[in-house]
Amino acid sequence: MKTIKTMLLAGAFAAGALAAQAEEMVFASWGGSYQEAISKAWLQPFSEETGIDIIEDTEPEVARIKAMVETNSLEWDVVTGGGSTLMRGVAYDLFEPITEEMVDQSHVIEGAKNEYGVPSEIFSTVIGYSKEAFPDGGPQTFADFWDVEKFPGKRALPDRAATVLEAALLADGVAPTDIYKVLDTEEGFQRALDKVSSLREHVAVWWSSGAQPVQALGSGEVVMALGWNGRFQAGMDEGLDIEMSWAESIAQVGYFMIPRGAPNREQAIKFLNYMVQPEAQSRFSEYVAYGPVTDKAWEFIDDERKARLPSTPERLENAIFMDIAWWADNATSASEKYTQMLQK
Amino acid sequence: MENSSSARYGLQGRPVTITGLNKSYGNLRVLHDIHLDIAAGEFCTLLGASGSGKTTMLKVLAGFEPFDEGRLEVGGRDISNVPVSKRNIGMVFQNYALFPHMSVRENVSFGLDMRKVPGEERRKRVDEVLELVSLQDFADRLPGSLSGGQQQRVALARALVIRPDILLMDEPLGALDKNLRQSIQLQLKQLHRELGVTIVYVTHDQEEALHLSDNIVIMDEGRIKQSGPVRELYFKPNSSFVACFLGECNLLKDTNGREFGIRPEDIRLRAQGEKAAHLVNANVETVVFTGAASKIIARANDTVISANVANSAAVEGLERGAPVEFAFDEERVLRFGTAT
Amino acid sequence: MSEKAPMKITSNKRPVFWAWIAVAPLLVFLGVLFFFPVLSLLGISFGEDQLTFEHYLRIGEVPIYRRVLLNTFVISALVTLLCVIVSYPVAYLLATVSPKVRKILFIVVLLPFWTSALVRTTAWIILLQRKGVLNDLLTGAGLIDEPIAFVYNLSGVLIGMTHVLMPFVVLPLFAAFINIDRTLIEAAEGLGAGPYSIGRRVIMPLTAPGVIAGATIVFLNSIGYYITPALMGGPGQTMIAMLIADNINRDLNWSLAAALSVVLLLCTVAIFVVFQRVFGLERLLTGSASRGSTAKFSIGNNGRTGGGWLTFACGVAVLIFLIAPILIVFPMSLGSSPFLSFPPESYSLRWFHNLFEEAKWMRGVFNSLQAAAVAVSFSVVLGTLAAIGTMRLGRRMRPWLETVFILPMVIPVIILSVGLFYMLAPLGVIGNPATLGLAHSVLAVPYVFITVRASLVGFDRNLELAALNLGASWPVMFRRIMLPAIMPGVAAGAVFAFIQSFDDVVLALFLTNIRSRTLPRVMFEGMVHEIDPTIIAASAMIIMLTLTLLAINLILSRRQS
Repeated sequence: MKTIKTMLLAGAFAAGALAAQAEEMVFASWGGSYQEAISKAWLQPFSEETGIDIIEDTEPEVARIKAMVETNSLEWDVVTGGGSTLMRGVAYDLFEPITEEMVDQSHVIEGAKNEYGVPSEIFSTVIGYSKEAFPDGGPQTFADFWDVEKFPGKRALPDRAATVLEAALLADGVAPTDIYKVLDTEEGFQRALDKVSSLREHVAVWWSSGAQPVQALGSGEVVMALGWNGRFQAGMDEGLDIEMSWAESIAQVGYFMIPRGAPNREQAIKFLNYMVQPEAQSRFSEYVAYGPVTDKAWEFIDDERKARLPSTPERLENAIFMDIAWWADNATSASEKYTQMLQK
Repeated sequence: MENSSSARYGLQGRPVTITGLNKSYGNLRVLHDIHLDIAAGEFCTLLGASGSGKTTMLKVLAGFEPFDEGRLEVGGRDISNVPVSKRNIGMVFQNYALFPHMSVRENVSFGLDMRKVPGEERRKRVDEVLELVSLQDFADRLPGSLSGGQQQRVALARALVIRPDILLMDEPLGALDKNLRQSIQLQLKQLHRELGVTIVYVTHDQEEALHLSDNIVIMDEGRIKQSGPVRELYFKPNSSFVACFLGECNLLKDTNGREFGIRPEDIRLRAQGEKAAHLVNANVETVVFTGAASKIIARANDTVISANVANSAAVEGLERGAPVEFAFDEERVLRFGTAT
Repeated sequence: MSEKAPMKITSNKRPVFWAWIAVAPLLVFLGVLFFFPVLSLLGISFGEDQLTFEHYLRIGEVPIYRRVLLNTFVISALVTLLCVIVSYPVAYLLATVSPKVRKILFIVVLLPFWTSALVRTTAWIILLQRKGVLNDLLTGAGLIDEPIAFVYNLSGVLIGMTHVLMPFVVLPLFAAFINIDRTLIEAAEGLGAGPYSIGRRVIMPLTAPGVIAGATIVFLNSIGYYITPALMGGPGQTMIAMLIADNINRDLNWSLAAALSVVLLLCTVAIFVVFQRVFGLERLLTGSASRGSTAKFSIGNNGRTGGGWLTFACGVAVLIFLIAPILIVFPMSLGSSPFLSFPPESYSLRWFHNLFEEAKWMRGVFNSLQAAAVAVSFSVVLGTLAAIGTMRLGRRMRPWLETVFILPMVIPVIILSVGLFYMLAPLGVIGNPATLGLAHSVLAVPYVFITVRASLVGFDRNLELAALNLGASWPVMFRRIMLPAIMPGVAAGAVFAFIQSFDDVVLALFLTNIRSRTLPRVMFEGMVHEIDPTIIAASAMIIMLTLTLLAINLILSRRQS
């Protein structure tokens, strides 16, 4: 990319040089009900408390962050993304490291911490199933999900490898702690692929957007799906006849990052400190069914809401955290093999 | 020659009988009770001004237009309900309607393809007909690269190669210049004689009709005014309309107030002391020199009379306003029986 | 009958000079806003720091890339074929109905363009899924026992893509249809041809230039598709644009994405060369121009034949196919649940409320229209000039220029987006709707070029010479003679250009910011997690607005006549 940069940057001037009069900060996330929840739980109260104006943007594609950082035209101070976005950006040195001095994260759950991002929420990949299809109790474990005799019917799976390979190995009897050790070997990886492949003819929908598994369950296209708990929950809240199983889950973490060269770095750090506080953390789940990243938040959350969230200590007990470092190293080849397997 | 040629092309002219044909567009009646017999091998021309119904009749015959009442027979076969593609009628369109994307050979071969004529025979027949119209050297050209006259011959070849029961031609010479038109008229006439095909020809050009036809059908406002052999129509028109449409005609009134016609070539200047059945006094308007003769246009009361007379010094000397006396014979007078 | 003047100008050098003047603006425009940014980015397929071929080797070695390339071309070819097949009855229908009905049918044909890709695919899934409307109807009627899997497989992709891309064939095909001289059909009938032979031997060859123009657009467009195949297809229908976008956006593996784009580009060009050799596109394009026909194509006075009625029925069926997903948008937009179903279980105005409540939607519409205005005016002017200029250049130059002008259709938009960002960000012009409009012009200009070029083939140069001979200057001749003659092509190009701009998400994601978000970008937000039914309400609104405008137009034009 250097070649382009030197070619294109010849004579360029530094963007963002104009210092803001009032304090402000630009926040970019993924729109929809997710960003709305962030806005209500954190952005608006933070803005009121500190007097910092917050401008909300959307779609902080990591490709665009890279382009902005490399052309010195950064507009965003805080961006959000999943583990893979974070790791990809780190590989290209797009995000500032977050030190203990900048943001105090001592109370954050260990599995969620990362050097370059502050965890914002925990969400899980779980089994959702149709209560209509299984009135006497649906699939609980990933082994059940793969058991087409006991639980007949069509399934929905993600069209990308992440979380599916983990679920397949769990279903195949691999111990939760050994998942990534097994995936690291060629045979182990093949074992996971073969397990997914064995279920192929029972999969009606390979989803690419988080809305699809819920839609497919609701319409009866499939009877069970691997999907994100927040989406299943939203479907249940709207009266769809579906249910989630918490017996096993794959926990993932959402992160807030500061891109290198953020124009309002100070305000961004203030905001991250604010967002990760237990009380603030507890507020997020009022709007979407994603859990806090610190155990200290639970004291502010009542039991009814707790039942909806993935990151309670009990649920995390049965969960594995997705290893974003492993995925960062293996993403391209894993996705090549996974997509190839699906072609046959 | 005649027999060998028509045998070679497998053409056999068929008679056409049209009975009680009526057609309207909404309230507008475009064909009024048409009855017409065309003999096998006849060259029959439908002659009329635009809007007279001649083209409509051709299209009805070809099957492009439906009709309300009547019966169409070709060679004794009722074709009233036969679809266009099964009528076996050749048609040459005014704009030729050559397929622009097909070569001359492909255009000509098209009708044979549709009839599933085997390859060998098809090739032979196309070659023959191209030779007939002298286009064998142009077989692989696209129509767009040919001259108007050549295109016209392709259209003719295309229509003939299917050995049609009858050949319909819709003002096929209209787009050509006068010299070309005359030479093609000759070729057409010869071709007709050689092939013996029945031709129904539409034109508004009376001269063309006279040159080409065995029989002429004169149409006006959707009716047949008169039909018959060329000479009969010329010499015995049944109405002033026909008399004036086919050739020139002076319309005069006799002493009983009945209208009659006399053609300019039948009028002469009265010789000294000559006795003739009809005499008319008039004053010269103008004298036109037409080469072989002179045309005197003169006025008698409120009637304009035109007379073709031999050139002479006397005629040349006539001045505007000079009195002349015309004479013509009773047997040359055109009497319009019961017609309007 | 007029003879066409040969297009080649031999002795006089000045026309060649003027032809280059006409072609030059587009060459410069594409050079700056397309070739420079795209080539800069494609260059990194050979490594970001030092020269390497590892990415190309990888594409050669890992089987999935060959497979996905093959998928892409097979699906694109199938979609193209389907579009051509189903467009014939529609074009026939359009050509044979009364002008008033035709106007309405045109709206039906173009309506799918006016809904966002997300809305269309969502509507299709609801119609076609296992427990969807169509399967319910079929099982209810006792025609099938088990529901048929229409979506999440090849048929889903073909249905979804054919639906969107069909208008690109219908419009040029219709133009070709009405230029067929009716006496040609009569001549064929008179020679014994039935409906089938007339269709195959007369209508198809005469409409070939229109079809080829449309099919070219569809094929090249298909290659870049990824939203529809991702949502309506199964994993067996993964297309190359999905992998390229993933490598750019998700994996940041830009070198691999660039290498994939280069391979895609080379394959496409290779296919075109073969196609041209085999079918002789050039001959088809120039050999069958319509020449001043005396009778426009219409049904014969005998009324429709059996074949005509069959085609008519097929045309109506295709029109129903076109509007089916649009029709269910309205009831769906009134459903109260964010989980879409048809018919909705309960109704509310919730999503319309959202639409008017939140400023971003209306601002999005405004920004979109601004960008589209820039895109349409630039692409129409540059594309038309270039098409006219190209026609005047020699046989040797022409294919090269045509390839150059069509290339923006073949390069994945994401590559252009990233390339443009690197070029424009340092200039500080990102976030301006005009900038986005210029970028959209790059996408739109091939459409204008293709449609105008196709209509120029049918333009008799004698008309031009006659006008100049009568003392008209070239601009006057252009305005009074040439432009009216090629107007259908220009208008179709303008419509396509508008749609390219109005439906684009990818460029908008890179070249707009929070203040200049376009409607498609607003619709796209949140897509990873959920489908916000507000986008359905937005589509319903756009359709209603379009229909209202057209209805007013119809009423006014009736009053005038």
